[in-house]
Amino acid sequence: MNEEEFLALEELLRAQFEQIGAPELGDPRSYLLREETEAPTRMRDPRSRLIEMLEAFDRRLAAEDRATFDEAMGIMSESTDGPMPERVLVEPVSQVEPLVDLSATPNLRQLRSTLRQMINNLAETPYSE
Amino acid sequence: MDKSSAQKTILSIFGAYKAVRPADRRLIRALTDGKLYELYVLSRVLQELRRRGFQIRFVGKDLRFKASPGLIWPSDPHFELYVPGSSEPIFKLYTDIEFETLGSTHQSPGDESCYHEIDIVVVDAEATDRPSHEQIALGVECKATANFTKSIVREALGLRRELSYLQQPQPSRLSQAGVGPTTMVPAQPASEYWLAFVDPKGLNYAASPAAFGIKYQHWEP
Repeated sequence: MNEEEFLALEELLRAQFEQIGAPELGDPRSYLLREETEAPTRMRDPRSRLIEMLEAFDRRLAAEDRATFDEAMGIMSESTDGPMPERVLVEPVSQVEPLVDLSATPNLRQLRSTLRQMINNLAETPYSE
Repeated sequence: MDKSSAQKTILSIFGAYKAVRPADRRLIRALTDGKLYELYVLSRVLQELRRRGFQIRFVGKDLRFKASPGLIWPSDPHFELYVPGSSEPIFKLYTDIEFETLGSTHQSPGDESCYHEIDIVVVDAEATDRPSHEQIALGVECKATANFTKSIVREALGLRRELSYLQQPQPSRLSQAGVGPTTMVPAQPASEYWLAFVDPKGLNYAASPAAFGIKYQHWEP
């Protein structure tokens, strides 16, 4: 793919981030490159930027994935003696709202697998400036 | 991969994400507020404390995270840390707690700046209400932000300032309990302070904060 094509994909990705309420993931200031401490920062090339944005999205997904809940509870079980917590709850700011049960977190395994496969494919895609 | 297939894949991924997102807005808010990452970091903290030799027990029925930080009530769910062979806990671990700052010991009367929040805290077993900075053995800040920013560094430096004075390295309070290998910290009181984050780029910002005893933990689930 050439630079124009990667830039078009980046625009599409930014629009998707806006739609899901995560515009900060598409902020180009998060994807600058400084090769040496004294060197000025510059923009990464469009393919690298696109890959980094997708990797950032994967990090966000990890914080919303049931797999993370399961991993955390597994580590906790191995690290403690005696009974484990029955549930993991989040108390809302408003006392009148019910508690939020973190075990209701959705399973994003398949979605993240597709995302990582796309990242690998893009990394292998030739980039022509 | 060509442009067309990349476009289709991006739209497919986001379509699937929107479809699987929970309908419960409160759960969405809890997740975007980083509470699931806080749970993950808590498990890693417990793992590290176990590795250092502490025995750990959960006290309570359900583990609870607060949407906004609060005070320590001993009846709240928490973890107890024991030195092996001891029947009484030496420390207790709580989440989402406010503590009284080092600066507040020099200012009277105080104001809203005299306490700060810590996501995960290990305190003296007898600590209640708002613990003082002297009662804190370990503070952990959790940053689920997908992209690490320098503002996170400044925030960590500020919190470290309000926990301890900078001084010659000495064994940390956790180490002084007599379990496991010794960890040295350049701090008085000798609390440890960890910054947990998901973005590996955060490791590029570790050098200067290390001089103040801030330990960077790149813990990515």
